[in-house]
Amino acid sequence: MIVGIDLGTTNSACAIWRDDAPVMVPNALGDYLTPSAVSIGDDNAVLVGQAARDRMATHPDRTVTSFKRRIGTRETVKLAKRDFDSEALSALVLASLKRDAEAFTGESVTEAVVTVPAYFNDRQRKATRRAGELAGLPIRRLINEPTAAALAFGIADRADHEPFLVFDLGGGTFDVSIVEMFDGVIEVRASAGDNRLGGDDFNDCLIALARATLDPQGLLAKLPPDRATALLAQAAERCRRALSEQDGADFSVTIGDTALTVPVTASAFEEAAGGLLQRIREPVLRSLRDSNIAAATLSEVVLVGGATRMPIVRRAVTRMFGRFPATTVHPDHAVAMGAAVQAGLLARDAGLEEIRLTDVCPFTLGVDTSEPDGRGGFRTGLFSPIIERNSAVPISRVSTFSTLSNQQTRVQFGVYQGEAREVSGNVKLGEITVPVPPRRAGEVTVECRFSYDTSGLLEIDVSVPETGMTRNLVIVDDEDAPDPAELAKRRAALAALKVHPRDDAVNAALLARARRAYESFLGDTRAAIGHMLGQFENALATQDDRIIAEARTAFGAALDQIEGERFL
Amino acid sequence: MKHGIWATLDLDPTTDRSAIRKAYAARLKAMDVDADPAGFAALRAARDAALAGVAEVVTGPALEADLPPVPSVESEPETDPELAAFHEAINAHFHALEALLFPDHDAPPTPEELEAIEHHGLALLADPRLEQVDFAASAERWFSEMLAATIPRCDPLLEPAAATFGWIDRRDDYALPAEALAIVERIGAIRFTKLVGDPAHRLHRAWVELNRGDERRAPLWNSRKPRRELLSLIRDRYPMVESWLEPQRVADVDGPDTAIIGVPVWLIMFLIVVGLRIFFSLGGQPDVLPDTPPRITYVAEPNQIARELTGKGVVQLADIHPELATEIRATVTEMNATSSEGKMRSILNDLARRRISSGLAHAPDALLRDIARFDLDGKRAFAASDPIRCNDFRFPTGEALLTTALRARQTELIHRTVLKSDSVPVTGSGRFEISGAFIDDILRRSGVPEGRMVEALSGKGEHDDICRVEIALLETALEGGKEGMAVLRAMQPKVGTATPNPSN
Repeated sequence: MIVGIDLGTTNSACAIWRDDAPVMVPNALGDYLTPSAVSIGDDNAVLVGQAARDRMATHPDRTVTSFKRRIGTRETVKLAKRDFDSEALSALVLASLKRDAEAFTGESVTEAVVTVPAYFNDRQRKATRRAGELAGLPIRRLINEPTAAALAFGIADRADHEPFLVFDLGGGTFDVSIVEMFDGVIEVRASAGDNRLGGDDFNDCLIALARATLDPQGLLAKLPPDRATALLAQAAERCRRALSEQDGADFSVTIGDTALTVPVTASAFEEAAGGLLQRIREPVLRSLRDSNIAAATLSEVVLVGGATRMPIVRRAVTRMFGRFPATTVHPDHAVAMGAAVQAGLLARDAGLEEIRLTDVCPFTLGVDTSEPDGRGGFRTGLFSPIIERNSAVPISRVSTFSTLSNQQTRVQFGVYQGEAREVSGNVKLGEITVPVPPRRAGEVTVECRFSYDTSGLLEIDVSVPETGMTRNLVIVDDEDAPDPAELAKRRAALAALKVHPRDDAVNAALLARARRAYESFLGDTRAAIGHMLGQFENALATQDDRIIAEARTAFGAALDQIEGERFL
Repeated sequence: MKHGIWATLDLDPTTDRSAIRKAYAARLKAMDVDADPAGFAALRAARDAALAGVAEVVTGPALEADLPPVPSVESEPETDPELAAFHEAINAHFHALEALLFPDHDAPPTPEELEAIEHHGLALLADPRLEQVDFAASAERWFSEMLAATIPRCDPLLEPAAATFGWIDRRDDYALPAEALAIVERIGAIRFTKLVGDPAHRLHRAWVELNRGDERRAPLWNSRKPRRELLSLIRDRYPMVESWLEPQRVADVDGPDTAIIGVPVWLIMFLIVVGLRIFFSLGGQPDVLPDTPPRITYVAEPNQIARELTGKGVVQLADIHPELATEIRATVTEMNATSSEGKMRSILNDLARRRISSGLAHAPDALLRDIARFDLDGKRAFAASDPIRCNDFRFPTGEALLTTALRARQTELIHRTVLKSDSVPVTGSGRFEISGAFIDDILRRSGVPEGRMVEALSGKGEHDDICRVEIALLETALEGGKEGMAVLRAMQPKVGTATPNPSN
C-alpha cells in the first residue's frame, strides 16, 4: 500500500486513498496531526509526536523540534549523548507514521508519497528521500506541498477551476503556487516561496516583542540556554494562538517558582510582524510575474498551513488580493490528503484514471560563464540560465557557448540551481568538462543541454559540434552521496533504537503533558497537578488496562480544565 | 488536413478556449510525458500558441508604445466623495510629476523642481492601493520605466522607489528587469560618490584628483596608490562611476607599460609601410556601441539597433538603405534566438564591425577627413600622459577611451560610415606607400629620429614614438592635399580579397 505523508516543520500527517477519496490516518492518540518532535525518554526509548513536543519544555537537552529546517545540511543535534542529523530525525517521524497507517488499515505499507516545500532545493529533496530510506519506507515520489494542496482542493469537487493561488504558510516554510484545473488536468503554472519563513518566525517575533519587558531580573539568562529557548518558544506558541482568537493575550513563562508575564496586544504583534508580512509579498509577486497572471483574474486564493489561521496573515492576504481568501480546504490536512491523491494516482486506482498532474520546476538551472570585461581580462562566475524557473516539466533546453581563450583545450561547466546573477549566490549541483580542439578564442562552440524530468532528475549533455565529442552527467548529490553500504548501516543503527511502544503512546503523552504543565503553573495549581500526577503514576503501576484508562480520562479532563484543551 | 499546432492538438482551428483545453487534456492523457518529453513540450507549445491566438482575436495585437500606460486611476467608479477626493489628489500628483520629469527644455532641474519631484513622487509611493499585488505590479513597472528614462532628473526618487518595491533586495536576481537593475546600480554609484565626496573619507583626496578637469598633471606628492585603490574599487563594485571620472586622470593612474626596445635602422626613398593596427587584428576587441547593456535580460529590437548604427529608425532606413534594414532585421532575429547575452552582444558587434569596415571602404573624402580629425583629437588627448592609450585610440574606439564629447562625435561618425556600407566583404588595407616628401614632413612634425620613425610606422618600437609618429602622420595627411587624401584612403579597408601589391 502507498501512503501519502505531509512531513511538516511543526506537524506531520498521513493519509491514504480509499473508496475514491483521501482519508486521514489517526495516530496512536487518535489525532490526525503528529508533532514533528523527537525526544529520548527517561528509559532511553525514542518518543515521537505529542509526548516529545511536551518534553521540549521539561527536557530540552533530550528533545528536538523543527528539524526540517536543517534538512539538507550536515548539522546534528545531541540528544542524550547521541548525535542525530535531520535525516535520522525525519526518519523516526516517518517510521512512526508508517506504524500508524499499518495499525489503521491492517495492511502493510510498502511505499510513500512525501511532500516537500515547492521551494526545496535539490540537496534538501535528496535528503528527504534518504530519510525515507533510513525509515525503511521507500519514497516513491516527492511532490510539492502547494501542488498537493491543489490536488486535495480539486479532487473534492472534480470541477474545472480557472487559475487559483495556493498560499501555504507552515511552521517553517512558505510556498505559493498558481494552479489551474480543467478536464481532469491539474496544471501548476508557477511556484515560488521562502524556505525560511513560517509560523516559527512569527513566534520569534513575539519573543522579541515580549522579551523587552518580560524579565527585569534576568532570570532567563541564568538558565541553560536550550531550556530558556524552549520555554520562550512554548510561551510564544501559546500566546500566538491565543492572539488568533482574542485581541490581547499573555506571554507567560514560569521559571521555577516565578511566573513572568507580559500582556501582548494583537495590534502590537501585527506591527512587530510587519517585516515578516512584507516578506510574504515577494513570492506572491514572483509567482504572478512568472506565470504572467494578474491577481484580479485568479478564481480564488486558497489558504493552507496552520500559520494561515493567524488573523494578521489573513488580513495581509485580503489586502494583497483585494478579496477574502477561500477556506474550503482544511488548512492542516490538505497537504497530506493531496499526497494521498498522488499515492492513489501512482497505484493506478481506477477512480483516478482521468487525472493528470503537470508541475513546474521552481528553480532556475544553469551554468557559470565568463565574459570579457572590456579591459583585457575576464569577469567570471556569471550565471547563465538554461532552464528558467517555472518552466513546465519535463523539459529539455540547450544553450550554445564558445571558448574564451586562444588555444583553450577544454571547457568546464559548473551546474547551478538558483536565481542569483552570480553563481556564488546559487547552489552548485555538479560539474562537467569536455575537451575542445585548440583554436582562437570564440571559434569553437559548445552546446550544453539540460534535461529535467518529473522526478526531479537533472541530466546534462555537453557536445562539441565540430568534433562530435559529447559528455553526459546525471546529477547525483556531489557532497554526500552515501554509498548503499553506509546507508544500510545508518538504517540498521536507527532500527536498533528502542522505540516507545505504540500502545503506550497515550500514556507517555499524558505524562509528558502533565510534567510540562506542572512546571508551567505555580502555587495551588501546581500542587494539584503534582498530586494527580502521582495518582496517575500509581494507576500505571497496577498494569490494569481498565484502571489506567479511567485514570487517564480523568486526568486528561482535569488538565484540560486547568490549561485549556491541548492543541496541535 | 490539419496543420502545425492544430495537428498536434488534433483539433480543427478554433477560437474556443474550452475546446483547445479539452483537446490538450485528451492528448496529455494519451501520452507518457516522461517517455516523450519532446512530445510534451510540443503539445504545450501548441496549446499556448492556440490560446494566444484566441487572446489576439479578443484584444487585438499588442501595440507598440513608447512609455507604459498610466496606472489606471480614472476607471474607478466614484461612489464615495472621500474616495473621489483621494483619486483627484493622486491624479494631481501624477500629472505634476510627469510635467516636472518631462519638461520641454533641456536645462537641468532647479532645486525647487527637485524638491517638487520628490514631493509628488513620495505621495504616489504612499498610495495605499500599493498593498494590492496587481496594482503594485503595474505601479512597479511604470515607476521603473519612467525613472530609468528620466535619469538624472528623477534622482531624488531613486532611493524611495527602490525601497518601496524592494529592488535593492532583489538586485541579485537575474530576472530583475533591466530598468530596476540600472536604478539600483545608479543608487549604489550615487551613495558611493557621497561617501568619498566627504572630506573625512580616507580616499577623498584620491577622489578629488580623479575628478579634476584641468590639464595639469597630478602633483608629484600625490601618490598613485590611493588613486589606484579607489579606481580598482570603482571598477570592481561601481563600474558606472568610472564613466563620471575625467578620463585623463584615470589614464594618469593606469600608466604605461614598460617600453619596447627599438630595432636597427635603415633608410630608403620609398617606404613600404605595413597597414597599421586596423581593428581586424587579433586580440581583445572593444565593444563598439556604447549603450549595449551589460549582463541583463535584453531583447533586441530592430528600431533600437538601427538607431544605434545609423541614427535612423528601421522604417526610415528601409527607404534609404533597404539592404541594411533587411540585414538589421535578420540580425535581430538571430540575436533573439540565443539565450546568452554575451552571444547576443557578440552578434551585434560583428554586424557593427562589418558595416563600419565596409563603410570606411566606401567613405567619401569629407568623411575620411572627419574621422582623421577625430583620431587626431583623441590621440592628442593621451599623447602626453599615456602613449598606449594614444595608440589604442582609433575609430571606432572602445568606451574606455572616450570622453562625453568624443563619444558624441564618434556616434555621429559611426552613423555616417554605416550608411555608406554595403554587404560586400572587405579586407584589411594591407601595405601602402608614402613618398619621401611626406616622410620628411612626418619626421619634422614628430621629432622622432629617422630609424625609430620607420619602426613606428610599422607599428613597432616604443609606444611614445608610435604615438607621436601616428599623430604626425594624421596631421601631415590632413594638410597634404591630394597625396594626403590618398594616404588616408590607403589606410582604410578595401573591397575585394586581393592584397594590393606595392608598385613602383
